[in-house]
Amino acid sequence: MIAVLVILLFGLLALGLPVAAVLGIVTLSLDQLFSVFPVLPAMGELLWGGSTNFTLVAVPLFILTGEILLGSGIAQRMFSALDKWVRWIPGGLLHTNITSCALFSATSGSSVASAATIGTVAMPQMKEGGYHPRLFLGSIAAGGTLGILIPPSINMILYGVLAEVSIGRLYIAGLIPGLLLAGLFSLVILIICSIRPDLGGKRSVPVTWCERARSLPALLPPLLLFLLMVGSIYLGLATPTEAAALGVVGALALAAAVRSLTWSLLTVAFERTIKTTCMVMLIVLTAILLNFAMVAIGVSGQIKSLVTGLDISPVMVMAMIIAVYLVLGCFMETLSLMIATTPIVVPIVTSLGYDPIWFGVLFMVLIEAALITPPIGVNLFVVQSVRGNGPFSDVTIGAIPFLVMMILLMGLLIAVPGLALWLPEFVRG
Amino acid sequence: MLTALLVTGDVIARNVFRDSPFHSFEFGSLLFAMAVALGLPYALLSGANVRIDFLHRHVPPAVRRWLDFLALLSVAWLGGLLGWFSTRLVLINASRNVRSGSDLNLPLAWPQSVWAAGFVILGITALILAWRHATLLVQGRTEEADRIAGVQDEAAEAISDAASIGRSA
Repeated sequence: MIAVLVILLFGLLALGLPVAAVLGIVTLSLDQLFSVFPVLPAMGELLWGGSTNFTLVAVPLFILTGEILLGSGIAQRMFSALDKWVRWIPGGLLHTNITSCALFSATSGSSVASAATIGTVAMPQMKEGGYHPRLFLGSIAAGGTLGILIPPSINMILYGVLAEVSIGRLYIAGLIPGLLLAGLFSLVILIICSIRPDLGGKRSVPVTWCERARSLPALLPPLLLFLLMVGSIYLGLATPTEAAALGVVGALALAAAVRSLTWSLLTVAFERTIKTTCMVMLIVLTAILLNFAMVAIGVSGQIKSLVTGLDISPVMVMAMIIAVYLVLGCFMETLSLMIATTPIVVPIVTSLGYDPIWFGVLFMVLIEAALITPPIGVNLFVVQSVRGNGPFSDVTIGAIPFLVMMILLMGLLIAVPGLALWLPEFVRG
Repeated sequence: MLTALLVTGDVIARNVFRDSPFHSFEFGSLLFAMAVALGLPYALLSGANVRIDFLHRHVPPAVRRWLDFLALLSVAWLGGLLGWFSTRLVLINASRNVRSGSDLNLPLAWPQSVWAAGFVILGITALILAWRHATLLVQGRTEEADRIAGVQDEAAEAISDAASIGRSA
């Protein structure tokens, strides 16, 4: 059963058939081949349940928030304000890239949006500041990936729905690892620039404390949005979906305040939101059907007993899972990789005794790594396209030190699970 | 945006007045289900269906076009399958006059009919696209055929995304 599942799933995906159709074919095949009682009559109800899942309503709301923010211009002001605070550190603007990505991630649920926005703002300053292209481009590609680890996060919502875990707790769990990863990115820049100061750009004009203080108001909009979208969940005022709706209204208010709210911006934002949401939802709906079929015919149980019967330690199995995802991440688009494999991998992880919330955080780091591993690394494409010219290898090589930091963070999460689990426990009391 | 405004109204009202006057939970979910289903054919026509193109890029053009045709047929099949599941549910709920278990007590078959129609239209749209693709191939108009059925290049998509962000920034 497991062999049929894996061969069908990855074989059909490799043929280039649409991911949603592949999940549908696998579901139907499992049902026809192995089911002792027909599971198909239940599919209509399941489909309706998935379609009206209030948690998933957060997905288009987050996409819409991101689209409105892109056009509002808050990213440029935030970038120059942060630059005044961190430019004294060896590596200068590279740290601004990372901190801007981290702060923008706190308002955006998407890694591509973070990399594209900060990339567009930062790129003109690369040549001006005399930065080495590789490290500069790598810092944006990797910094952008923080979008899915630092809450809010579209990927966490989808994982939460498919793995049936609390999205509020996932958000809280992602906060410390997200900030830690941003810190690790800055640390690797600091180390590289200390060894090779020529990579870190020319020293810029010193900034006075007065200038720094004057730049602070530019940081308020992203902080306010973060408080609306994440703080409201922590304070128990709103559910994750309601927080996403507050984010849309907040983003509209911010765009209106800076006079960039136009019909054309809204039309583009709506069109792109519909397109992306429908694409994601079709895959999610078929993944829900597959999830049900797997449990109903006992594949999930088989996977669990297979893993628990193995004579190797849970840590070894986890290391193997990480290795498989690092390889798969090189070839598969990240969102479909995540949605298609969550129903398979979560039973394995829980049967090993790992917390699904903890794994959700580790999974996000794995997905982040997939975003910057060639040949299919969407953030690498985004950064290269924003740059416009020059060899693509600059971006892929530049991302390597940051990829190493992601693997280091995975190691830290395995060694110290509390990094992800302490804050949710603390908040719950 | 309507959902966002309804939900925001409810969050404020619930926290301030301890009441949810807009029923955003129910309206939001129903609007979401209908909007997604009706948006599926549009997403298909804009080439938004996700495919893993790693092998696809490395096979000869003739094989690749066969795979593109198969991909469209598979979406038509999926639209038909989901359409069948959903229509069956609509007919059952209509015959039993099933209503939502909330204060609104809405007859479920109404929103579900719109939702089911979305899947059926998706199937029909994919079938028409597959027919068009095959016709263009028979006529030797391969470039046009690739445009309606080929895998959207992720790099090209990223470039168009970044360009639109650049324009708005």
